[in-house]
Amino acid sequence: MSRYLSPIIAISVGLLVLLGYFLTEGALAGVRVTFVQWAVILAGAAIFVGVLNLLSVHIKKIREKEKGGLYSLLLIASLMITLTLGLVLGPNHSTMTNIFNAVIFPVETSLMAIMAVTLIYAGIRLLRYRNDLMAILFLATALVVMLGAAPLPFFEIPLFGDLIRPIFVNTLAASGARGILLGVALGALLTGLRVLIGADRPYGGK
Amino acid sequence: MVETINCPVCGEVNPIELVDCNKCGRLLRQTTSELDGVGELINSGQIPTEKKTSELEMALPAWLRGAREGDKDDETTKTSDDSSLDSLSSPPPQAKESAPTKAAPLDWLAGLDNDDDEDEEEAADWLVNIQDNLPIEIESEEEVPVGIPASEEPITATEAPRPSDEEEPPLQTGELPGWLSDLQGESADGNFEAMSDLLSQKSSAAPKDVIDEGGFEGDDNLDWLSKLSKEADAISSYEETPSVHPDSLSTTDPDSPDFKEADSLPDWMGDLRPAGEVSTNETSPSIPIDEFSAQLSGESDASPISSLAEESRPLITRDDLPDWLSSEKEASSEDKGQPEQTPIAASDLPDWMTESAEELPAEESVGESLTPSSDDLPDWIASNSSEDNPAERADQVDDFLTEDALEMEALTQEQASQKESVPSLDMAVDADENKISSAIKAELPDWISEMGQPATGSPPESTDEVSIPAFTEVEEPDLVASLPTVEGIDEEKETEDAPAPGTPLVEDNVFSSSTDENVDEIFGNETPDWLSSLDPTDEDLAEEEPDDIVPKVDGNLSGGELPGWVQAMRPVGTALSDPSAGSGESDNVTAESGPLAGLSGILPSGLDLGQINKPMAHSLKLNVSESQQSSATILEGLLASESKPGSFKPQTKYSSIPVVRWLIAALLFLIVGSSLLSQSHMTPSPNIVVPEIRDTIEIINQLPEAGSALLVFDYEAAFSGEMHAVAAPLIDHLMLRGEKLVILSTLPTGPALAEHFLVETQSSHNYQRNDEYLNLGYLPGGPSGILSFITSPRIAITGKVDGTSVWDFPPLASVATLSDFSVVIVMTADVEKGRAWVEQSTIPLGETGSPPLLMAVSAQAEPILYPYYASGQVDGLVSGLSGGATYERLQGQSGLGRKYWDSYSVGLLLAEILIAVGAMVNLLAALKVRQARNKDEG
Amino acid sequence: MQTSALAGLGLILLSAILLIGLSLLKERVKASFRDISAFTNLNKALGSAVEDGTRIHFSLGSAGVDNPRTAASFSSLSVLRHSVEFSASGDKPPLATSGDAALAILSQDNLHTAYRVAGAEQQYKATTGRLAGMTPFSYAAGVLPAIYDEDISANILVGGFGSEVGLLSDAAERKQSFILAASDSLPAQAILYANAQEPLIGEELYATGAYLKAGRAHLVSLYVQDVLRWLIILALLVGAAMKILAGLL
Repeated sequence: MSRYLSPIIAISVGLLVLLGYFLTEGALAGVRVTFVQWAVILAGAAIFVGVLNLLSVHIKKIREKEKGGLYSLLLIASLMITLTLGLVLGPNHSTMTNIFNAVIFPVETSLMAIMAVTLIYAGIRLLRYRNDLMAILFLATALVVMLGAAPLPFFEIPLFGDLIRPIFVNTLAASGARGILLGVALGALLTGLRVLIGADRPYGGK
Repeated sequence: MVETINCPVCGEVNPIELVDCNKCGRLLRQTTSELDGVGELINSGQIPTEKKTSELEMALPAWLRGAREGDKDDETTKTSDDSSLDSLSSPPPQAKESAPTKAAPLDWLAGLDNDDDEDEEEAADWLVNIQDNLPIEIESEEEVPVGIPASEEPITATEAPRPSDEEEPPLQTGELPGWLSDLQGESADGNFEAMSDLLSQKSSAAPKDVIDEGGFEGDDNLDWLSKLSKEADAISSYEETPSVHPDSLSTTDPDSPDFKEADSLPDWMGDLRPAGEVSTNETSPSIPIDEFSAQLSGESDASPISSLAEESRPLITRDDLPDWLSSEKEASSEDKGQPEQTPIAASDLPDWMTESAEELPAEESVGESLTPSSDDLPDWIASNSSEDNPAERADQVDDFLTEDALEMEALTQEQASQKESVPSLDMAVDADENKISSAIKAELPDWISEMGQPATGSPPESTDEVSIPAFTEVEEPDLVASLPTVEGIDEEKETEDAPAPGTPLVEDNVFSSSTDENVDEIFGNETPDWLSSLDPTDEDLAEEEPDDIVPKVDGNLSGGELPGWVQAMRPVGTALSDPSAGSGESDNVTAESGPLAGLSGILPSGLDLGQINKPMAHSLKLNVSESQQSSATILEGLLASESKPGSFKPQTKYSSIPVVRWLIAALLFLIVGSSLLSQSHMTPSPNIVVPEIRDTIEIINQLPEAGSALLVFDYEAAFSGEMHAVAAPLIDHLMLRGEKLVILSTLPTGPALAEHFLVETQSSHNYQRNDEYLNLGYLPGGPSGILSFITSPRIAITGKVDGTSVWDFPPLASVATLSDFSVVIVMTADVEKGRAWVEQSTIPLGETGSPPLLMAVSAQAEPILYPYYASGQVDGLVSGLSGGATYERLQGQSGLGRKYWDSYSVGLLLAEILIAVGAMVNLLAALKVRQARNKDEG
Repeated sequence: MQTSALAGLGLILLSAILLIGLSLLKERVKASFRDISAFTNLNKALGSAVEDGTRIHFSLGSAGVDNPRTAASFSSLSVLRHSVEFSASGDKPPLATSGDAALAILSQDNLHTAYRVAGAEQQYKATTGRLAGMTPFSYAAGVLPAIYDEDISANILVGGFGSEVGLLSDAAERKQSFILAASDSLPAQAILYANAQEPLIGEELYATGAYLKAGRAHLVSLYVQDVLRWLIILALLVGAAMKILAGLL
């Protein structure tokens, strides 16, 4: 029975929410809102479960003295401190804001800065193992967009920012992006339909 | 239709009436057709009809029939000892001169003749009896099963042949088959004892006793076997390797009182006896075979022969020995009625296996110790000691031959009444070389005569010994001496004063380890390494006294490579060593060397070929041609390559170059950082006025005052560097208009990020929390949450701040639905977030009077979100740092846009240069590699 | 109901009908798709990882299951399950990291199912499905140690990624491990094209199930995608023509 319970719930709820999107009038709208709210609650609970999973992984790392166990210990300590302060002081407390400003914000911005180096290196290395026409075209397009994104110091290339870059960005790139997005949308549509008809079960089970 | 038959050889079609093929001349039918009416061909599944063995004689080859006919003639005549000796000593050509039908007395193939029903036994009885727990029935006629003779019993395919009623009891181990003993005639009856007798310790009966008692006869009896038994009885000590000969040489009745126990046994037989057993009467201890093997292999320190004197565990009983090896005399009186496992007494050993009882005063002691005479030891053992005591050996040989001849006739007569025709160990023990008459010796084949010769070549001179025991307690042969010795060897060595034992049956030099070639000659190329590698000059042997050659244990037997049945059939070497013994008086061909040494009536090797030579040693190596060798090499290589893992070509991996990364980072830090710090304004502000920015400015300028603007912070902290520069002028413009701010985020970090943004960029406006701006926090559910908030904000957001409903605060006091907001500004770096807000709010915001929708997005999201602006779904769009800088310029402000603009421009230029140069270098390198690859492939 | 909503509903119904109908017509519909070298190399990499005794890393992204990018997460779960079924016999269990809590739970469930199907249920460990971070870049920061320290020879980066995928692919490239990456995000696709060995562009993300022999439904859905794509192309051309004609007229 449990083998069929999950698909039944998934299919029924999915169909109701889908219909509720199109049928805004009537009972289905309320059902859809209710299911969505339940999904939101479950997502929040899943965050709690995920945090527990995170703790178990890093505790195991510490217990087995694996490589990086010290960082796992630091992670667990930070998590506990932040969780305690947040529960006690509240999320809007200045302390929490200071923790965010001091830890999360600079870390993520630093990672983004590293991305700049990574992407430059990737651009340099692209033709090393992918020396075909498409790769050359890709690099050329990237260079054109970069040149048109900002004027050069001390001088400016004429027509680059006014004509060439908008063509590349607003016409070529945008049209290609739209085509890709259409395909992605179709793929997402069929993926969702597979779940709705029970052909695909991402929630586990054979 | 004419019936035809296909030739089995050439396939020619022949008429069925033909016997031979017209084309190839081969028989068209199976050889069984030679039976000619004796029997029909048997088809599969058909039970063969019972036939008499005698009826199948015609199926034998002609040469075999002839030999049997000759055996028949020999059996009927009782020759003297000389003639019997002649059968052994006569050279092969001489034997060939005689009619083939007149086979030599030692025609062991004559067993096919079923004329003699009395002595016929099962062909393989002696083999069958090579088992333990077989009762010794040689002496008991009562044990003979009643029934038709086995020879006349038809042999069917469905049942095994059963022993005949008239047959003698099954042969013991080493016992000659009945057909073999039949050759000896009636006089040979009883000469043969079970092979197990060989393992028993015999009294020191001279080998000649064996001979005299019925060893060699003029007929085709296997007198030489009887000699062995007598020799075993006679010989009690050995100085040389005792000769091993079957009791067929001896016609001594095992039960006759003339049988003397052999005090010594051949080494290979003596080793099988426990070393400590010295009893000559009742007990016949045996040596554990395992120990014997261990001793021979060198695992034990004790010499196998000497160690036998210490063992007292009877493992091989009398039952295990052939009759001709065991003393019939002792067996009849002692072993009769005893259980099957009765150990073999020394007296049971044939004479030739024991020292001479008369000539050797130490016979009894030897018998106790059961040290076989070196003469009776196989040559491969005796030769080891031949070098040390050649004179003694020569004397022993002479004695053996002399005595053997004298005793032969006596043995023949005594054994005639016996039905058993197995060699007797007693006979072998009693056999004495000295007893062998010269005539007999002359008849002996040269190869047998040679075996009796000592290493020095001089035959034994002494013929005074009555019997030459087969095993005498003489010096340990070199072969045996090389074997490790054990401690506690019975020190009763009497071989010092003991006369030389009988001449060994086998030439000393044959088994001499110093002459490996001889060993190889006897055994062909199959000589075990341990046998051929034994050094007669081993120090151990040198240190050993001659008497220590054989163990002083009753019944011990030294090991030998020849099978027992071959050993049993070998005539006494001393009987053949006398050159005058066989001086051509007999026409029978007697083998002088080899496995058939001493056997008469063998097939001659050829006319005028002289002495029968041993067969050529053929190499076991295959003659491989070069092409075959090359093919084999190729095959071997193929097979070897199968086991080897194939070479795996790993996927091409491009290693990372950390130096380049560090270089790029360093350049960026240097250039961008310096530009940021310098604030040189070397790069002009963007002066392109894009419509989306202009529309945004116009919309904000048209907002009602003191309204509430909904700000959605849906970008990650990682994008705050750009997004702050993009959104700051817009928010600043909005705050300058006096709009209250309602902050919302669909990301967990959004609310905190918004607070940070306001602190970092809008601190100049000094907006107060919950008064000028309200942070609603996190909106869960993603698009569903967005839709929920857009539809009914008060339901979607029910949170309280400090115990007060958020909808009570001034920023939301007049807001009930989304339309109540003055403007909705979505700030995001994610395309999906922007799309979600746009798509979810299009319908509610598309209505008339709905607030405008503005977006401040990252440059990476601009291509995807711009169409929304183009389609009118988004009223204004500010994207990227350039948009922010443009907005600032249009507002006449100087903010983060202008601050970052120079660094942004320089950084972009640096990145462009690095990418362009690096790409060109890598492209050229890749092209070069491709050219090289193409060149190699080309 | 508005026109756009009706059009959307009609598209969904058409897709469902095609999907169900073509799935039932097993013998008549034989779809053949172009060869994608990325999936061929993926099988090789999985086999090599099993033979080498190294670990396989499945990064499912940070899209979650409550947003429009859930389809990418579902596709990544499908790749995870069928790849683990293939490589369950490896010495080291595969690792599945997620940037969303609900996705992490689903990854654990799929791992368990894959091991059960492969007959190696006892090898399943719950810690192999991990929540690496709550935000995309914190998720990337949490995955980097796993890539560097846990002897990973193959990285399967399939799911809802953003720009942070550049960090993951760069780390995998430093370890000289196999990289197969796919995302529904355009910036991520651009980054992966420059950084990954085997990038999947566009809707190839949703074709992974079909190429990994996940089932006939995946093949049929891919076939339906092609049908719908041609219909959209036709609709765009017709619409553009009509627009031009209207403008001319």
